[in-house]
Amino acid sequence: MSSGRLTLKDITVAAPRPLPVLLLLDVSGSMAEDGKLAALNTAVRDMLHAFAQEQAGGAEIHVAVLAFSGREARVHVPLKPARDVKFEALDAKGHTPLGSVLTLTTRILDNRNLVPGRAYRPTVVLVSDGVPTDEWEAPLEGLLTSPRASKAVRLALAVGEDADLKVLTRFAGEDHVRRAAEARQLRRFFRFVTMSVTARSRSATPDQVVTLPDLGADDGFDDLDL
Amino acid sequence: MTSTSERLRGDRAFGASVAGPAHVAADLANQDAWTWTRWRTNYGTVHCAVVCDGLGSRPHAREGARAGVRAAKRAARQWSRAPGAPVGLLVRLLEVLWRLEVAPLPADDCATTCLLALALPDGLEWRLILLALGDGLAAVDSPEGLRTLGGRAEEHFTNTTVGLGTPHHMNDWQVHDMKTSGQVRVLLLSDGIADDVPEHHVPDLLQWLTGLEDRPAAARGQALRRALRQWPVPGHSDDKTVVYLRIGGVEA
Repeated sequence: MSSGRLTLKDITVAAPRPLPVLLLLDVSGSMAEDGKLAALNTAVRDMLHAFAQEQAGGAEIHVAVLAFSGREARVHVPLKPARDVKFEALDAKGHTPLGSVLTLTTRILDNRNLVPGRAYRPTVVLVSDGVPTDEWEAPLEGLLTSPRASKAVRLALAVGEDADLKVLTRFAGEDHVRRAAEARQLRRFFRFVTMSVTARSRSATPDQVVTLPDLGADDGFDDLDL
Repeated sequence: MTSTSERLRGDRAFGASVAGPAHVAADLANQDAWTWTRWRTNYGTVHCAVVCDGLGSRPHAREGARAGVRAAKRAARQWSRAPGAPVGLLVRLLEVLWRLEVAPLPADDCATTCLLALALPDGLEWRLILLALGDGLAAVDSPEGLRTLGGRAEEHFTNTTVGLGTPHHMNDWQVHDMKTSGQVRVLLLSDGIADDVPEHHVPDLLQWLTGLEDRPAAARGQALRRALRQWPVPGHSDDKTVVYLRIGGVEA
């Protein structure tokens, strides 16, 4: 509708509210073992594909992929609408600089140009199969005490038996951490996060708290009615 | 504040509130509420506008927002009869009255944001008071320029706001207390609108609303509600509420 020559379209933003999802992916050398990296790449690709298909909801899902290995974390995919993401498979090598990726995450979430105030509460998903190899406690404290970044929904997946469950629990809280002992469970975790985020993007209350299911083999996860 | 007999010239007040598409699709009622009212005091006619936006995650958000409007109006009316009283008392009174309004429901279940605009005649001037708790936006356009209040705090995302019924401090209330003369336009917006209108376009929104002023009331309300339902932002889902108030100069 117009009033004179001025229309509401002229004075409103042209983009839907973003629903940001940050994937913090451990691609240290150990992830190359036992098919973990292949399963991770497949799970992320499936997630991105599902997000890109999600057109009906009120929110627009935005995704960033932060990979951490070697000495420091890097932005593998900058935060952008999921439909615009061209995902290239991750390689695995080097150490597990968890502190570096947590610092990077806080920096992104605190940046109102990257994550505007009109965005829905971001989801941060941390996946790791090992023990941090850098100083991570201060960066974690920085994230958890940041007035803005601390409001993100935090989920974590410990991959394999060597993952440091205590660290991941400190990151996400006990109820939001699961362990995947096999590739199938890793894929289930990502499928759950995918369904949870897409459900939120369509919901009248997109900031409802996520409840993680058990990833056990016979837990009926595949039949969850979301 | 001095007492004066005055005649208000050409004042206009209107507003509208519509349920957002997400609530419509979920068969949920609008969780915003608004009012505009005025009353006479011994120093002139006071104008009051309120917008409350119930927090969507709370089971009684709608009741909380409606209670917020009632409480703000009652508090403002009472407070306006004590010229010179600190604005802090208005805030405290509003908080207490809101809790009484929602009782016996738990306050946390009824959480709501609150925007209040109060225009009190003060001799040949207006004393304008804007209060904001939580997201949404209040704006006042006067001969002194455009001032805005509220907007989402830097640390917040959508739906992570503070409000009546959430833990907060008195200093979470944003307060703007000013004197002005001449014509004043006041705008209150729930976040369903405020988040989609960049601050540099607030004067344009005021201009757009000013363009509706002279329509008959029924046609104006219908046009405004239609515009809010046909909100041009892709994927918009929130309830939307706007209150517009223009008050003329005070004539002794």
